Amino acid sequence: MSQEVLVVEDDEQISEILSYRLEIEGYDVTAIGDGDDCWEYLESADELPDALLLDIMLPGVNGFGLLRRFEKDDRYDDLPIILISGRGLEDDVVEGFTLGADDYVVKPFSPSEVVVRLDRLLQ
Amino acid sequence: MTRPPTPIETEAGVRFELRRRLAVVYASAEFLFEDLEGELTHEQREAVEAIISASSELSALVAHGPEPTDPTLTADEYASATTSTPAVSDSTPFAIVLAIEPGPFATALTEQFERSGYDVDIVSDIYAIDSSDDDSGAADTARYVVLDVGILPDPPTESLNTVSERVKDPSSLILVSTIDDRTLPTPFMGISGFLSPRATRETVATVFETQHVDLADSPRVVVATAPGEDPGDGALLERLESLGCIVETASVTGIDEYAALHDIDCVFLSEAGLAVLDESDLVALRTPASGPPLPVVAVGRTAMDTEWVPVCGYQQFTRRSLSAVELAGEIRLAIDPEGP
Repeated sequence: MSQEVLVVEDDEQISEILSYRLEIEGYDVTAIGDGDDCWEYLESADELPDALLLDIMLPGVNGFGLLRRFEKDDRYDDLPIILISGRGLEDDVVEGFTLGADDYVVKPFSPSEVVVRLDRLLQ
Repeated sequence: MTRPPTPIETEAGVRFELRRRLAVVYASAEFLFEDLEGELTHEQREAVEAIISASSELSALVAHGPEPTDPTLTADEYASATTSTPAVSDSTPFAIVLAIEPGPFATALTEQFERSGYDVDIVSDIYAIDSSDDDSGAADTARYVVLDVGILPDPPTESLNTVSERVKDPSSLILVSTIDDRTLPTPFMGISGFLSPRATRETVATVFETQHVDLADSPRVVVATAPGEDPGDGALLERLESLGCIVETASVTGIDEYAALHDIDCVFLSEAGLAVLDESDLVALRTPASGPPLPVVAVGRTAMDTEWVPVCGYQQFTRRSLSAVELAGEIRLAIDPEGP
């Protein structure tokens, strides 16, 4: 059975390319472009996705805000998360890791690199 | 009424938008290059390569400089956010010595640390990391020394021992790794760390874990030595075998081709092997055309009272160099794993 990846990215083009690349690799992809919608989706899901690709800059609650919510709920403890950062600030990297992200990529990124990182996380 | 953006804010906004759009250009070009929608002709492939190369170079140009804290903030909110100094855990700025090759990357790395409230001093060779005899060396006032293992004179492990003796507290020595991947001016990708040949079985198992090599899969590993060098007394080989590895020995000459041909999962380099390793072979091991890079572990004496000394930056891959932002983030995590 395919593993489900939730892509949370507000840039439609990036989201489409990333989703298509992941689907080619055999992942079942759900794409969401808003932080509030992402929270709603996860909270109403019976089962969490196998992994989350999370942009930091999002409409609604941003990536860090979502990570803070995940921290408060044991349900999200084992959810692998790769952060996508559009900014060139190392503070983002540090904050992302301290809030529980498992990995990060900085834009512009290589989709094949993201696939490799995801494969590694889901091994 | 909000004031108009300052030139710095405008530059920050432009950088952010450029990076966002470059992500689309790079990802789309890579998509074509990988023939996912049909094979390209030779000429088309060259054209796509040119797009990838140009967007990579442009990415490097916009990678450093002022950043918006949040593009949705008003100008006043933005000004307020950018004037605050990011948290450092005490009121006295930490001093950091960056022992790396001077250049645009070193400058960008320095900017990252200074932005976070650190005092930075760049030195270009290990002898400038002075001993504490006369209280005048850079390391005397620095809380941390960040050393690019690429500037260690041969033999590298011996030079590393020399450096560790020059810093007051060996635990304040943070290693980073640079090799030139020949495409970008920000090349921080290299060896994964230094392992003592006397490391315990448990430590060696930890190395595999940190390199994401699953021992349950009976990984194939190669111990690479200098031409004509004896692989040693066999202690490390025995430990590797006891962990279930399929162990081979080979010369470092052409080790990249050997590793690809024999489906190797991890490379262990002897001290002498590391000293004579061709840099392009290391580049090939760490930047494969597809898949993750091969972990490359240097085996040698470690004078820092520890059996395993990991190197910051090694996890970055594939075909894209580590940026100053990413490396600065990894170093900050090495300094303070709990974060600011």
